[in-house]
Amino acid sequence: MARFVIDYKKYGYIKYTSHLDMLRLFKRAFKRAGIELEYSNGFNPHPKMGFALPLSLGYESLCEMVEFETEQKITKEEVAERLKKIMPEGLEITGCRILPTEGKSLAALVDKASYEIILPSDFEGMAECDFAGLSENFMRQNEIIVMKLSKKDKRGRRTEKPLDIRRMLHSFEISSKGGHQVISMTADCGSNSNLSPELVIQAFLKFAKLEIPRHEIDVKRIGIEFVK
Amino acid sequence: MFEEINVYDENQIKLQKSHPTRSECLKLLEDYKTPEHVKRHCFSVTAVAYAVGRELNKNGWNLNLEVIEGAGLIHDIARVDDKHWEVGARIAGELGYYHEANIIMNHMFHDFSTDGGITELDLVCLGDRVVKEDRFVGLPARMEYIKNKARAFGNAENLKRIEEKARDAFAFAQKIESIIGMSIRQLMKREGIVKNVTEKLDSMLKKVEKPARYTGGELNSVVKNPAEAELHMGFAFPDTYEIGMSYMGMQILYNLLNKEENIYCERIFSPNSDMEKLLREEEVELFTIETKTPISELDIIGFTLQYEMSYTNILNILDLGNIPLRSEDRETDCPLIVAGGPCAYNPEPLADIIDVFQIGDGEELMIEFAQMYADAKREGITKREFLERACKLKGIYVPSFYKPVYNEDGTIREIIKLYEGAPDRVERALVEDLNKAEFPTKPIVPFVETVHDRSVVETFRGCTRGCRFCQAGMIYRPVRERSKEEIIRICKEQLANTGHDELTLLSLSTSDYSQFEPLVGVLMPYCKNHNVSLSLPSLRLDNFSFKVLQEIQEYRKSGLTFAPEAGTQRLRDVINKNITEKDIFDAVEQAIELGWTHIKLYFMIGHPYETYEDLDGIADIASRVIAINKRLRAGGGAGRFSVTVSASNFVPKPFTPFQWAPQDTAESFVEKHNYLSSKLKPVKGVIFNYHDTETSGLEAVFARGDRRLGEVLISAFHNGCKFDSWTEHFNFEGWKKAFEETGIDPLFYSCRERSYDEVLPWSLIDGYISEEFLKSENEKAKKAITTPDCRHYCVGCGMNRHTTCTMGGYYGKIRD
Ligand code: SF4
Repeated sequence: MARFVIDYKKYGYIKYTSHLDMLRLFKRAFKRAGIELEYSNGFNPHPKMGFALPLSLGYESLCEMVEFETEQKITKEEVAERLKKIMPEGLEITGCRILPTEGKSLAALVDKASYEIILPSDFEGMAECDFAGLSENFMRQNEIIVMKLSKKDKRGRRTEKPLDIRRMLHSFEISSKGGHQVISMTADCGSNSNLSPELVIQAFLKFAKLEIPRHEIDVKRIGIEFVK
Repeated sequence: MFEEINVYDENQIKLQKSHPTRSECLKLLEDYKTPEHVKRHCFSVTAVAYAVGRELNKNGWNLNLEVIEGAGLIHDIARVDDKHWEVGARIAGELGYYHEANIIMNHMFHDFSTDGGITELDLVCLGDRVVKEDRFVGLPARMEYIKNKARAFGNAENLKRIEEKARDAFAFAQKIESIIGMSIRQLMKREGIVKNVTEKLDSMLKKVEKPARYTGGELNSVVKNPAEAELHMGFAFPDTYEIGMSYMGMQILYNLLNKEENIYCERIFSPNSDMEKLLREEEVELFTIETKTPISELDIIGFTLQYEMSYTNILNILDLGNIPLRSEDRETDCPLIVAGGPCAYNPEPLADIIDVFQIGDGEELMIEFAQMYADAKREGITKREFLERACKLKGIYVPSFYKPVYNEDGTIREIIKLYEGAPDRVERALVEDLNKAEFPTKPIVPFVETVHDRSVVETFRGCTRGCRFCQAGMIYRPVRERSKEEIIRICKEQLANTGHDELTLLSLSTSDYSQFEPLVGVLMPYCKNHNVSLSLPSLRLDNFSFKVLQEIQEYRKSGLTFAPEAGTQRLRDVINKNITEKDIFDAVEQAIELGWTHIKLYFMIGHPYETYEDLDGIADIASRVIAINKRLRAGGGAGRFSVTVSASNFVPKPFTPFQWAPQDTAESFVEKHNYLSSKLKPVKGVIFNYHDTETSGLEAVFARGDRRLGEVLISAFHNGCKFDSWTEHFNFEGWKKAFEETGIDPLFYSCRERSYDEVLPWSLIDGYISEEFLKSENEKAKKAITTPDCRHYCVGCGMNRHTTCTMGGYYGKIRD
């Protein structure tokens, strides 16, 4: 039995394909590529395959990972080669690695993730902003409180709760790239402590007193760090 | 003809020293306090007129662009005033801008002509006729808008005059287009006046649910360069992406059309409400999935008519594409609107909207028709000339070549031909050998989850059973089978090319395939070895099927399905549904013994000659199924068992023996539903659900309606009706209003019994099933006499006058 991880990028229109649909897409892709996934035992067997970290709908990424197990005798080069041929536009396979068969899943080991948040080239109030100063002051705060929607409770209700995101945010910088102000940030990620870039966007816009609508902003994941 | 009133004569114009500059015009607008939205309109009109003028000048004309710009910018300067053209002309004249003044004076009433030259006035007026508010919409959409105003006032003479004017405008636009060698819309695109959809798409996609419905790029979707295709068309499914993508017919034609080198066929769906709202707000025209081309730029749009309740969605798609709804409003510069599919067998309710119907099997006809259009495009002939050619193809119906004449009582007296060369009757297209009709092995695999995400292979077309209510069973005759080897090959290739984990077979009754057992014998182990689940719908429940079902575990979860359709043997004989109570109860017994815990029973309510005893029969069957379970599982395990009884409402359809029958009234349906509810409620373990009455009534209206219903449809659409088959969108009030507004009584179409000698709206269509057969079947129904499946022996439906029925008398053949 072997355990592989496939690295890929996701950009262009395919970023509008959701996490669940990506799962289905990969399942079908493995089938077409003639790579037989190992199935779990139990009443409802499902293929042993999983993403390191779900990617929100609409995000691009340079560093997606999906791991799987197979009994098949196949090299990592062969896996990458076969998948490259059949992936849709914007889903670019960049490599395949072998993982030790023992040990936790990648998803369980995720620790931090880095993103680029791309602001529109021009928006009301942006011209007057000193972004370098703003980002410094933003990070200098002792706490950054945002309102976070809880998961649905037993009755299907969601409640808003204040949350301090400062301690989960490790870096936050703004620089100008290709005519856009781009925020680079690294935050906690994974099952222990998890901070969504959405909350950071929300907090920063409020801090900078900018009213940029969410659909004017693009987000790109640029890195995932794992627990050593 | 309107005479031009020129405030200034030519000599004065010759003496004119200067023309207003752009900034001067802006200042004039500013000073006159012209409202912002009017200013924006002026800017757009000017942009269009200026671009056309400059392009004409590049082609050797000598138009004064300064005049066009000046006159365009201030042509509506006084729009809020009474007789604003006179006021505006005076403002310009007093400043010494005589030429501009004349243009402003005439811009409201100008008649286009192709005889003389092209003037600055022509171009400003053209700009004014293609811009709605501040947006370029093109001549057809704008003309439709003006005509609709006249229609609303009901002034026939006025409408005629406007139609003439529109014709002149189209001719003039065509003249310009032939000079500049491209369409005005293409020019507007090149000049950036018409925005590319893609510019706004990204932010729109962030705002809608399931954006991957609109992005394209799915596995096996076809990408070509539209500019290189001789014929660029769109296949439109008038419902959501998820429903349309589960429909195999689209994939068949998409695959075939794109195999043609000179053709590019893309897909079009109804956008969901959130996307529609954005399209309208952002003024983005509906676009194709693959290349995001505005649908108004296509050569042909082909709609598939799968159910009547999708008709308003057709109108909505056209409207979202800025394409006039009525065929007569689309003389030039519009895509040709084509429609096919089962509902096209009675095309009349859509006759004023659709240009061309395709009746029957599409595989061969669609290609022939599309290539004929490509030829016509190359030759540059008019729409009318093309239609005259196309109507000679078997299966092509051009509604504008015919006109029904009505009797006093509202029935049709006769249908007269308006074009001599059109056929007296339109014969359906027929694919004789299914093995030669290519079935896709590389169907598109959507990113988003659709209704059915699975491989689908058609085993045969048609049905020999002859249920008297069933339109599909009649119009797809004769039965044509695909060979077992072909089916297996297609199944394997499709699975390999899609990566699907489910496979299903498509036909009207799975087990009727003559090689069913050997076929399943191959597919079952193949699927098992490849981790694919096999799903076999509408099985006849005999021993073999149970063996198969046992192997395909899946079924146990979804429950066992039965469609007795009627509650008593008498009524089942009336409708010729060849199933007995013994069949049902034997199968149920076997199913329960094998561990099934859920049984679904499908019935139809409102069959002709139905009585309340037949409803009692339904309740009786359900109770007895429950009782069987109790008996068989006495003492344990009986708790989880349930029976679902689903009742749909009978809708009489054309080309069936019941095409003359009245539909039950809404009141009667409601009474019957209530009656059945009260009968079934006390039976523990039975779930009863039934179909909505209002929708069934409308369906009956459109199934057998005539041409007058086109106005009802348009009116309903304007009242906000769309997605009528979706309970949450169904807007009965809008429909009621539409019938009131048009003075049309829906019951005339749904609940009225027709006599045998009435001219039926679809009588022009020759579906190959003989009328004598349909009548005799109806007569037999009255006496509850059955007609056997024609696999026993030919029962004379008339099909064999046109083709050979390989399955006719098949059982006899294999016995001998
Ligand atoms: S003509 Fe005879 S054999 Fe052919 S479909 Fe009709 S009934 Fe069946």
